[in-house]
Amino acid sequence: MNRSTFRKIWGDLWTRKGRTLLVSVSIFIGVTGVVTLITAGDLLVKQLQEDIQEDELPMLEVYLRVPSSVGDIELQDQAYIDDLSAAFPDITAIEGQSSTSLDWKFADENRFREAYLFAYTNSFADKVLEPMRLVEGKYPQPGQQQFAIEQRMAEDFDLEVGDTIDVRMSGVAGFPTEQWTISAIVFHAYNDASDQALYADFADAPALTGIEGINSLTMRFTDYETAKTTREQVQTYVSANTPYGVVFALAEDPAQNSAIENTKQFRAILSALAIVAMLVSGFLVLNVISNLVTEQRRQIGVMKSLGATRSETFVIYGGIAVSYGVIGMIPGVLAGIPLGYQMAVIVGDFANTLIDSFAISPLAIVLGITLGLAVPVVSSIIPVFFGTRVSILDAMTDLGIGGNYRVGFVNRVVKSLPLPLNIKQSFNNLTQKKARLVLTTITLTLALTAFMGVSAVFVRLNEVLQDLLDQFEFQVIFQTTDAQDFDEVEALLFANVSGLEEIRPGSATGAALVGYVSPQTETNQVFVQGVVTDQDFEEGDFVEGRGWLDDPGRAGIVMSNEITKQIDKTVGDTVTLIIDSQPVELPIIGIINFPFPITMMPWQDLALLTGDTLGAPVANQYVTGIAVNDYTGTLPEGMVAAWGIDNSIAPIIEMIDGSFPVRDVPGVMVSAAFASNGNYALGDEIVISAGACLQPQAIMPAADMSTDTSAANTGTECVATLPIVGIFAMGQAPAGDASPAADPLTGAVSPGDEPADTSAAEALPSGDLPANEALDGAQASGEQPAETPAEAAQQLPDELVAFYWRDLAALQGIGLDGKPVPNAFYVLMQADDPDAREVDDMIEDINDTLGENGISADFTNMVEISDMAADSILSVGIILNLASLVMAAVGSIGLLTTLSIAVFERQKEIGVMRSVGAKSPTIIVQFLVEGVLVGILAWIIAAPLSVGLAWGLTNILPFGDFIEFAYPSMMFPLGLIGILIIATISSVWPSVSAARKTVSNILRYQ
Amino acid sequence: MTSPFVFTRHLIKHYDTPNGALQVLRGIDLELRRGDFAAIVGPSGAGKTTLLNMITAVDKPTNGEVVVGDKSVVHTPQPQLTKWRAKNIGIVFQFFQLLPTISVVDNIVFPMDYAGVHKPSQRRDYALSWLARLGIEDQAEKRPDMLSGGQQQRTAIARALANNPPLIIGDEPTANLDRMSAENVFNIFQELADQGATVIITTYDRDIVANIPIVYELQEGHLKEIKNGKRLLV
Amino acid sequence: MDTVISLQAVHKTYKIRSGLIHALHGVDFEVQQGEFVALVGPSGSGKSTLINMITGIDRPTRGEVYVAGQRLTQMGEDKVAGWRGKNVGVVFQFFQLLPSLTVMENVLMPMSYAGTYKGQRQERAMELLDMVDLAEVADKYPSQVSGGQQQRAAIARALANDPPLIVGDEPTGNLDSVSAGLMFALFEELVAQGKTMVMVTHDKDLAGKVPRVQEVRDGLLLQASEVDQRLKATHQA
Repeated sequence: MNRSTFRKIWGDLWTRKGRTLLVSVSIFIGVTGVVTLITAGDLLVKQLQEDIQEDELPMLEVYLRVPSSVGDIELQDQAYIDDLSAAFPDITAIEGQSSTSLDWKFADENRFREAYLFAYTNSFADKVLEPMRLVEGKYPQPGQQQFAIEQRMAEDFDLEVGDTIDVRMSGVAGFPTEQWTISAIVFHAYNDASDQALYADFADAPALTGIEGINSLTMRFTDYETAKTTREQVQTYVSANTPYGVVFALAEDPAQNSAIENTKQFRAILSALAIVAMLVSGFLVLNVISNLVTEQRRQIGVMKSLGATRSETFVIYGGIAVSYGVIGMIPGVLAGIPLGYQMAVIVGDFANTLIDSFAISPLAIVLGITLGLAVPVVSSIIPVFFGTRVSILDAMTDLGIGGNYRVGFVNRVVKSLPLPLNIKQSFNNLTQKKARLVLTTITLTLALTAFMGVSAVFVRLNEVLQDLLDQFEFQVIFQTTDAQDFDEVEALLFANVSGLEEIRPGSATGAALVGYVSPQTETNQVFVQGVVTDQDFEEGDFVEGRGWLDDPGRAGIVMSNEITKQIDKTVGDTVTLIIDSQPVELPIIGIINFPFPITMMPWQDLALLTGDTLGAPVANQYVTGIAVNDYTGTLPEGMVAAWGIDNSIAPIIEMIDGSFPVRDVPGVMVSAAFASNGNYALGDEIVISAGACLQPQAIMPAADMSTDTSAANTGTECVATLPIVGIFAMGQAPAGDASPAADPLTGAVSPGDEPADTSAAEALPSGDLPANEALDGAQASGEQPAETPAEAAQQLPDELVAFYWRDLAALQGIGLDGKPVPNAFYVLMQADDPDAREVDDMIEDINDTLGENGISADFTNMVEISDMAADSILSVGIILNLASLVMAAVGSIGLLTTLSIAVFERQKEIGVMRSVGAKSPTIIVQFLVEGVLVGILAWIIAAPLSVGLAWGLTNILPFGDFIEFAYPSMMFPLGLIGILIIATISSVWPSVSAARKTVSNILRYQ
Repeated sequence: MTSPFVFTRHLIKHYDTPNGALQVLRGIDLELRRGDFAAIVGPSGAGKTTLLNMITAVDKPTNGEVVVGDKSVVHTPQPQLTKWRAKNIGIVFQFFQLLPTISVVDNIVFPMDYAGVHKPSQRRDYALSWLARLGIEDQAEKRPDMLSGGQQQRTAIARALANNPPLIIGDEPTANLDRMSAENVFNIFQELADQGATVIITTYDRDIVANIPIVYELQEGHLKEIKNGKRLLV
Repeated sequence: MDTVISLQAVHKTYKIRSGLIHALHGVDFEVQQGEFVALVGPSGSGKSTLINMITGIDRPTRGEVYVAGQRLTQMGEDKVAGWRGKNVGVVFQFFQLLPSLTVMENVLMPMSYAGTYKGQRQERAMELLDMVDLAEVADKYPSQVSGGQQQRAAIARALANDPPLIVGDEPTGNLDSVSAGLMFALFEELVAQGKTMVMVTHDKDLAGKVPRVQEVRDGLLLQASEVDQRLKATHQA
């Protein structure tokens, strides 16, 4: 190397500034892309790995709910937890969590906003699983009306420690609004809903949300294998030993936390795309350097004649390539660093990862520098190697403009086609510089393949999403805090809210399907959706079977083909579902096409299975009126109170004589007061009428009580002659009772409590309310849950006839199950295609009406969710498409450069054309067509390749398993249009500049 | 008598063209000594440039011998010839062949750098002195495309002479020059020949030919010496 | 006879970085129809520039150019190109055939651009190629034929639209003596048919065979008398 080497390199860079700029820009774009994308992925993964500690993650999460049929009982969460720990010694940490929606607002606002309230059985400071970090302030204390707020929510709403917000107390009668204070700001990396997260002490939660207890249990075991194998046993234990029903249980290996794994995959995809984008830049460089050495053939020959050896010449052109690299790489790296950080912040927002302080990714920088230099150098090796091989003689022999023209097959074909001359020229010219044509085509093809493939995946994702959401036509889903009768709620809303088209009941739960293994979760969990059999289906919905189309009352289950394929069953086969630890066998009566594991059954049946019923008699809380022949009781119409009991009430019973009534054995136990008033003794028989057999005016139609006709009273069965098998008196409730149901609570359940359930005491004297309804343990909406059965028992009248509770129900003629109630209401609006805002208004209206009637509920705006999901997919799609846009930009520059060089080389030709009368349009068209032909060629090759890429991407993406691969056919024309636009834009400038070359300009060059 | 510095023995060159073999040189014998100043004339397309290409080792003959100095250029492989040629032969090309992206003076320094001739710190000054001698020193920093044809040709001449080569080859070196400049160049060549360089040029210019001591004519592939004597006074 | 070419006080100055180049210093030039004129002069004398003025390929800095009844100086680039296609047959030394079209397609070019001889183009092209003895290679690409054949094809192309004026810049420069002789005979034939021909050459022998020789030196036209003397001088040397 000597000074002349540098002068030559500099001279070339400076003299053809346009080309230097073009090539450097493409390297700049490539390097920026690499640094940005890899930095973003890297920062995200690192942040997550910092925030999420493996030993803080749970291994098993069990989702719970309290079925409404359980009635008013005390939830002893800590005791359940302790018991569970004792029963499963492998549990190393366990915690209960309550997370529910919460309405809040600023003091000066009218409308409430929705956030989520999180409360834990462990204290905040002692939280072992998925802990949070206290950023500022002090953890909220119970009874102090204090919240902690997650940092991201605080930032979004500009809230600080000490600020107050209004909250709607859904657990207090009348739903008053209270002012609560923010006592702390926390950072809770494990909380996915961090931008809407408020935390309160566990004791405060029920008053805030109206919901008692917990809705999930998280636990860690000695190791993950144990967690996996113990899962079902834990589920069964919880179902059997607590009032809770298990909706769903999920075992996840902390070592493979899905958030981290998904982000790592995302990082890998981003990196791969970035590097491919860079490689495409490499093709551009190869193209340009190749043109350069061809253009400078003569100069290379001259330099050789002046003493430059081949390797010295090599250094010159390699040096030019390196210079392109340096010029493009330095600003590329500098631009990529802040861009990558920004991108990480933005994506992090989506991915619930907070990247607060500026950070760089050394890996990205190193890769950017390396690729920025290596790509141009490597790309230039081959063309320079061949280009410098030219002999002095060849280099300097000017053979005019046609000397090296090779006539090939294409040329022979073209000459026989009836095309305009300039179009023939376009075709023929393309065939000449084959290497250049190949390179430019490759560049464009890569760009187009990436663009079409990535876009195809996201169009498809969106299609799938829209399909899923379309399946579900309702705009609003709400769940009431307390179980509500469907018909009543429906009537209430239609009477008071305008714009409603339809309200449907729904039930849903998770269940275990015997013999099924989900490829996604590796468990046998499936989703069970309750449907309205006579309305939810129409012809064509089923790919096999007829479901409920012909007979809405048919027993059976409908499944998605995702499941049936896995378990290899079809219509007619029987499956066993385990719902809330109860197995149930059902025949498959229909199969639908759905990519998720979903099953459907009539919602009423499902409600019965999950225990979502109202009005079901509960042992020991079951009191109703009966008539005893020849005895006038103190109740209206001379009725006597009948008490349905079971053994668990024994501790508060003082047996005077005889024994407890036993199931299916005719016999009743009477109170001492009754016995003495009626002058009865053990062994005497009394004739009892109940239910339909009672006097007409005392009877409410059975339809009010239960839709279950299975235990319908036919009249004769509501009268029975039964012996007295025992006489008792009410005793004191002893302390330390083993039965959880009998455990006394000393104080009120929550602040602002009504006095203990007065409905029993009230109803008895007045007799206005139908006795059955009031006393069957049904919770009037809005009232506090009753106190323990023991306490209720103290309220009972002195004269009692006690039955085994099931026998009493049989006598009264009411189903044991009670009336199924939905655990969700689906609302369809009249408005055609309402937007999220309109749906919000509807929600507000519904909420107001319900609230006025003492019903609190949790709302989901489906349109908003669908919009958000579509936005998310779109955003991810855009990010992934960034890489292909980079490639498209580079490909476009490549085409522009190639055509510019072609114009430069073919100046003489242009001169000839002009000298024999060609005008500007003719010349412009010729170059335009060349560009467009290359574009079309690229498209022809890219189209099938993009299908392959889309297939590959679909398999790699985390949710790809759920999507059946399909390539949207609109991608083909879209890609063609895209490439034509790019090709036209890239060709315009060179074409016009070609046309502007006047012959005199060309001549002057010679 | 001094020994020949440049000689060719029975030099034959033919090309294959679509219309058959083209015999350009049909057995050329040429002998020149140090200090000889020769011109080769002949009709266009006769092969003058081809002959020069044989001597400069830019092209290889089909048959025959070419020796320059002590080097048999026919039998020396090309890569070895590169540095030797740069030091020993100064070539003025018919179409100048200047490097367009560097300045005039840098064009002249180029062969000095690659042949490793003169001390690096002196190269630029030496180049400038040649430019001055040819009357174009004010064009030193300009790029070749900013110069007229005549100025470019003088630059090409300066470049050919930069390494003080013992053999100077010029293909139509004065074709683009006006009378005065052409005479100046002729004088420079004569001076260099007097100092011992061997100068071979091709030319159409009859006025110039008249003053050149040795003249060959190339016709139909054969070389004929039509003049060999001392410089004649006009 | 009509005046086919009229240049009046034509100046051409090029501006380059180092200053101005005066290619033509106020040239007056007239050619009548049917004349055969040779422009001679050394390299850089301005003869090529002068020819470019005539074909409209270049424009004067000052002065007027009238060719075949058109005032070229007032016309836009595209219009000049269109006019040129119909009125001037151009033959250059280095501007030969387009390599991406066959010989026949090259000859079709002027007709295609000018929109002339609709429906008869192929026929006419074959006639022209026949005239220059190239009928058998009509379907070949230029790279497949010799230099002499290419130049003849170029001449056929120049005649495609039957232009009244033919202009050549060193039209025989790249040919061997036999082909050059044939070419020249063709030119004489065309002039005999009534075409006007202006040819630039640096070959004094060739110039000597042309009826009218105009010498150009340093951007000016020399007077006829000077020319005769110099010609006589060379022929005797």
